[in-house]
Amino acid sequence: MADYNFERFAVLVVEDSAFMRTMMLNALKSLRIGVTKTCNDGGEAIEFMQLMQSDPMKAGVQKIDIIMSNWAMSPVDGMMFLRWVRRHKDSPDRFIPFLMITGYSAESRIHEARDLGVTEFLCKPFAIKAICEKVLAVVDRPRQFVHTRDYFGPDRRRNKLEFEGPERRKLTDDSAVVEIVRG
Amino acid sequence: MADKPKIQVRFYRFQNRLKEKAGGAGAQGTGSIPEDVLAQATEALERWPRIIPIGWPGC
Repeated sequence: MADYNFERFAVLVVEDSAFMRTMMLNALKSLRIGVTKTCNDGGEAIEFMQLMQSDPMKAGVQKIDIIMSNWAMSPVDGMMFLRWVRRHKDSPDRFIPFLMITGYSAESRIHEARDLGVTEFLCKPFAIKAICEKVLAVVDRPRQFVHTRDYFGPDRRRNKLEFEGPERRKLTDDSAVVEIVRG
Repeated sequence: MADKPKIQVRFYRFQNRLKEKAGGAGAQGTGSIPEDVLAQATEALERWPRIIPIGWPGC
């Protein structure tokens, strides 16, 4: 098992609490994440993502690799930001891994975030191990994206259940419905 | 037998760019975070509750 080096990673932290924001930054810097950018709420994050696309020099980063966003923020919360990232035509990267951070871990809320295309879910209070697990999940187990009429986001099926029926669909990279995304 | 409703689905797959960034070109299998980095990060995060009491906004 190789040791990872995150010095070339750029992470965007979106958090309205100055305390939590500084704590997250501290933790990410300790993990030797190369570039960390912060925004106070979803609206600021959207503006930052647009700036990054139009003027990377001014934004200070060319591409964000992972977004870590709090859910409950005002005026634009984490869910609205996630929706913009996944669905808006101006989004610079609709496939970007999105970690939602929240203190409310009710199943209905997890389902709500999942159905909007969240990649991973991180519950407060969290230990450094939890952050590491989520980052490693994003790096080691990236999921294919699915686009249907009602959904765009990472494949929500994580369980690999055996299918015994007669009409099993076999999906390969060469299948007509599969598109390989470069870059 | 009634026809099944036709559902339009597209799948997108990518090169694992993040794995290349973290593990270098041609990285295979799963990786881990070096123990010393993990220890430092744990220490850094655990220091916080001692500085700012639990119960502050955002805690």
